[in-house]
Amino acid sequence: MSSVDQSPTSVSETSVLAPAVSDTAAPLLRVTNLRVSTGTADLVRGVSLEVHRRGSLGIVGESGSGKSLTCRSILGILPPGLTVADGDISFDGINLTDLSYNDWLPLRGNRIAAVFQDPSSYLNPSISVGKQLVEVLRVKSGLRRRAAYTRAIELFVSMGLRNPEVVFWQYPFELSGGMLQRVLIAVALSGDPDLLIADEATTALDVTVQAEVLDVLSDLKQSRDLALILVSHDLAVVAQVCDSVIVMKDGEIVEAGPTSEVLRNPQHPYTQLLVKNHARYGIEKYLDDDLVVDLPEAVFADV
Amino acid sequence: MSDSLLSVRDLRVSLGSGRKRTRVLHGVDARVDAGEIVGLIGETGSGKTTLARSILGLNKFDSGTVRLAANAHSTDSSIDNSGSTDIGSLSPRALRAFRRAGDMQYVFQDPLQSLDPDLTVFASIAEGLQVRATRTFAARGEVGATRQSLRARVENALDLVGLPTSLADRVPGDLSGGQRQRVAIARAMILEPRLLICDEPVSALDATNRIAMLELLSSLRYSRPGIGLLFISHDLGSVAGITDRILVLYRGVVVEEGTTAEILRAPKHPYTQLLVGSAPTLTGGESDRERRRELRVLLAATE
Amino acid sequence: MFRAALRQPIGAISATILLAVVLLAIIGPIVAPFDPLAGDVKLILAGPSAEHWLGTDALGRDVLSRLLAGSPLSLLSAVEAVAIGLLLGVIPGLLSVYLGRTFEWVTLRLMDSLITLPFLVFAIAMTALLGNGLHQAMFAVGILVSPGFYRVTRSAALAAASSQYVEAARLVGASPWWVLRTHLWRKVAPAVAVSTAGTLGAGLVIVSSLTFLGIGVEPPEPTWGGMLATDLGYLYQRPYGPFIPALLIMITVGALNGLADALRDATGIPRTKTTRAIRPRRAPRIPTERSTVDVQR
Repeated sequence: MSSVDQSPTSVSETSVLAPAVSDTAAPLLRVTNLRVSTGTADLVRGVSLEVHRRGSLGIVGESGSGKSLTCRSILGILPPGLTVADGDISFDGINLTDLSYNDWLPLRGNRIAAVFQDPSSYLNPSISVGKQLVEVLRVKSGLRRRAAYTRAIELFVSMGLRNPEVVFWQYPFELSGGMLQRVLIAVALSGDPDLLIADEATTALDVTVQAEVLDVLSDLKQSRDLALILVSHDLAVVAQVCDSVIVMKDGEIVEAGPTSEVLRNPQHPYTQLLVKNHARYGIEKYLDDDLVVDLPEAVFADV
Repeated sequence: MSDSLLSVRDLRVSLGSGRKRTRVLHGVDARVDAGEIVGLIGETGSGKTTLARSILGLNKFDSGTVRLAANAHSTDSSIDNSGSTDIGSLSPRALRAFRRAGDMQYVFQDPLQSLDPDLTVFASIAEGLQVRATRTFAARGEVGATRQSLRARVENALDLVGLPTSLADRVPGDLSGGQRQRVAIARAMILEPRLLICDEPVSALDATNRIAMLELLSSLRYSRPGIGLLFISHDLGSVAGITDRILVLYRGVVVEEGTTAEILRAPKHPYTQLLVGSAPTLTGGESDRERRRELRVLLAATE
Repeated sequence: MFRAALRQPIGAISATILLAVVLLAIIGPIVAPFDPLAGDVKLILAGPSAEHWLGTDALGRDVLSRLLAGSPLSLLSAVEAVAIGLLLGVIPGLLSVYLGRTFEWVTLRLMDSLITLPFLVFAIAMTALLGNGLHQAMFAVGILVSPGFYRVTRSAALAAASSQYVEAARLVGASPWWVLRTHLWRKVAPAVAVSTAGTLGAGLVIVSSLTFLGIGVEPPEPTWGGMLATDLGYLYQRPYGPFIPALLIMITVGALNGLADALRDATGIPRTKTTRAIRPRRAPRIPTERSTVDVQR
């Protein structure tokens, strides 16, 4: 990647900024001190992050860490009962925290898009997948029927789906998880968004298919000038695609930085645990890897 | 081999009826020896679930054999001259007797579905013993139709999987996913099986819970010496940390087999290479992506 | 299950009413102030008075006594029909899950044909065939309500029988009987309970209709439906007459339906699989291969 902008990485428990890693100066998305609360309890506290155009940010954490809630705050789709109690979310100068439903319409789908975990629950089982994509194209991008069809086929091709004309007419139950997820990414990209959020998008997929989808996402960073936020419980998944990473635990950011640095020199015990677990139980120990050599001794105390 | 604990020879299985009948396994050979941990890796559609179900006697096979080595305690009715039990040839009654003996146990993938929501943890774990007791007087004596000895054995099983005995009176709905998974293992282990088959033991858990589960499974070798463990998974990386040997199943055929180190360091078959290349590592990079692309093209050409 | 139903207001009210009705049926004939069959010719169609709380009918018989005396017959007949329905419905329903395709097909088609038959016509035909008695009529009704129980039992049993915990039980060598006792029963009973309550209500209406038509009971035996019929003949003289047995029938049937609703609400909370949309997103999921479930093995 190009110039690594080393903004100060203070590893305090409450406010950590992910350093900017990209070509343009101002971040596309900036979250400052986000606090999501149920009224009685804070589920997300003091979360700050930045994503630049063409940048890719990974958010790692287990269930309950607040990573999904953070994404949902950015998209404005927090579950009922939860609100953004504090903090700012700024997207290309627009403040996302107090937008009305109508204000969101030109943003969601067109400028900020998302894919989630279980692809089949996001598709109507009784309509062919191609027609569902066409529907989005016609509604959001205002394309006419034939233009929408052509564009849908183009999108399928760019997702690496073989025989896109055949896939167009297939129903969700006829397609595998990986293909469905790629259809959904196509839907997400149909509005030519600036930011794509993938929340555990590959968790439910077979590992070979996961790799394929992650490869697609990687390619997108370059080919489409897209900013990407990838959320996963697996540090390695994030390591495949993202330039910078934040690690969340119990609603707070515990570590942040460029991916290679965080992996090479994890500061927080939780991150160290994640890395160590990979070293001990992952396949890295069988592969001749520089990583294994570079980790500080302490991490390997009992491997 | 007559020394193997489990030996599967040239297994061919078809599923579906009438015109929709398709062959899923095309002559599978596999073996698990006492005391070893074997990983069976295959993606959705590879036939791994069918293979597991056939080993358990839940499917009829077209041809081939599945044999479990007998030991001094095996019920006489099921052993044939080769000194092992041929699962495929057992009558329903003999199969039931064989299952009551508990030599071969199975841990389902999703404990939310495999534990009766209306039964307490105690009842679910004790079920196998109680079923045994309804038949054999000896078993009744062994179990002691007394609640105390049953209770004691259930508590031992909970101990074995690292759960507090206070959970015995809860229902599955009150437990976390990781705890439920452990209950499912306790249910299998209480019958003191010689072969334990686990379906996707860690796939439904997030990163930190996975490690705990892998450690538990690997510790079973010490708490139950001689036990053979067969893990079925779609993700090589998730079980490679503890397996001794790996079998790769692709489209109903075992395409490669070897020790974990052999498979990971020098995979021969393109699919195995793709599997190894797809497992997310902390240092995945562009070169891996290229290689994966090549392999996918190669595999697609063989369809 | 019952406790949960009683905790709901409608359940509590319905249960109280039903308790009162049952009490009525038990002690009614004993506490009836007058002989229900004896009429005082001097007091025909009298209005309510201190002596005759609900007045007298066309033959001078005390209406209250007749009502009390008629309770056991009406209620027991309904219970009889439902009992027969349960026997003929629940058992084949459970067996259809285990005894193979042929049995399943045969019972399904049998039940389908029974559903097409109209209750009253069939009941009347049965009494013509077997003799004019309430038992014969209720036997016919019992046969006709059994498909409802069959379907309810079968669908609950089928859902449970193809579940993984039943498969897990089979894998430790459990017999179908064990599976039924330990796992299926708990899933089937709530559905059957709801059905029973509702069918009792329907059964009571049918008994009343039959006795209204004069089927199955020879006068002067008192029944609620029969009283309704005779009262209609004297509407001019005693306009409020039919209301009394009708009200009693309505209250009882209403209470039974209320109980059925309460039971259904009490058991409707999903304790098995929650749908994906509302299951808390704790753990990532993976696709599972679908394979046929062979119930026999």
